[in-house]
Amino acid sequence: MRSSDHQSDQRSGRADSGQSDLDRRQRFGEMYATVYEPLQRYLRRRASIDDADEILDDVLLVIWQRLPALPAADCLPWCYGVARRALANRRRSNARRQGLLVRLASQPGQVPIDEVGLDDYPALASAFRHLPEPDREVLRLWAWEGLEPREIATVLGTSANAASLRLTKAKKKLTRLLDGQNPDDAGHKECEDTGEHQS
Amino acid sequence: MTEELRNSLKRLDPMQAAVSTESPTTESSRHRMERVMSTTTHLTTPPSGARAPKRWVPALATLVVAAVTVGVFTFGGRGADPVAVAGPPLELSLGDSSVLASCIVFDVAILRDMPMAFEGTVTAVDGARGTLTVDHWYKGGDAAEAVLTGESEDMVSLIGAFPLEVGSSYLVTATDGNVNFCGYSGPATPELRGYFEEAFGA
Repeated sequence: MRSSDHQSDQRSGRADSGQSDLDRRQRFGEMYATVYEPLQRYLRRRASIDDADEILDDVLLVIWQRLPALPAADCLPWCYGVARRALANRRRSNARRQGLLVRLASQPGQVPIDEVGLDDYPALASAFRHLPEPDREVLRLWAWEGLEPREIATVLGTSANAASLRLTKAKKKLTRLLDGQNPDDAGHKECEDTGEHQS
Repeated sequence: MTEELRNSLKRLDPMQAAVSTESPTTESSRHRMERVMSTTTHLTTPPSGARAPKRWVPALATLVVAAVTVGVFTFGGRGADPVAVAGPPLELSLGDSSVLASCIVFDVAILRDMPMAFEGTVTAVDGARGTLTVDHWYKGGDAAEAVLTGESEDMVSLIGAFPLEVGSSYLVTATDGNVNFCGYSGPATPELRGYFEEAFGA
């Protein structure tokens, strides 16, 4: 290769790299504008304000690092999935440090997360609290984040069918609890419907 | 009925519309965005929290070099059932600490070629044996449990300079029954998990 060609290629390479960097920063800026507030809400629904803020830094960093691999569709559920895993890591870390499985929000003036609604909607809040955590989480994603089963599947890393089944089962359990019935009967009924055995 | 239930549950939302969040356009959030973007991203360096160990083992060097020079990993593969099933535990070796070997730099392309990858939670550390419950299989197996065995307690308490703690989660790759280090196994940080998902899919 001639020297002038080589220099030209180098300049071209630097230009491409600079453009790529600009494109990446621009894409992240657009992503940031889209997901920044939803992620704050997602995390503050599940962690203390301080923890949520720190976890948000971790999540944003993962998004920045994995930007080229980000799916074009369902990017917000994908980001929720990153937040979910970061949150799980924080909980494990907190549990190790403090001997607690989950540290609930406890800032002065902030109502602990699992006590929201107990005064105003005691039956609903109590029924919700009696559900197993996996059921509560799928219901939170559905009602609070406003996700549909396909998007919930992206967050949980499962299939759309599995997410849909989990959501249906959780709704049945909650309804039965609100009706004063045994929530586990919802699962048994579903097994009868599908012909599956429940372990 | 379904929408009614959904609306009812919204009443329990601690982040209802009246609760404010920080806008992405404020000065502090823009500063935060710039700070994130100023973070250097190189897939050729070990993920933070998964740094190259001070104590290197030959199994690692052998395996990683094999990944680079031969690139032949035939068992396992994408699309393997990620669900752990009951059965005999997977036995993996943490290698021999008596011989030093060097690491190659971390690269997702090399990670992708690892024949076996999973995430597990340590349930017990007993002398030279560490037991993990497999939470998720990325590739190459379906065992519900993995047992990591070293030659000494010192080896079991380390996965490439990481303490193996009961209750903690780890991302593990292995080849031919040997755990790979040098950033290819380690505590399940979001960053390392991100690399695993990039390499193997979620």
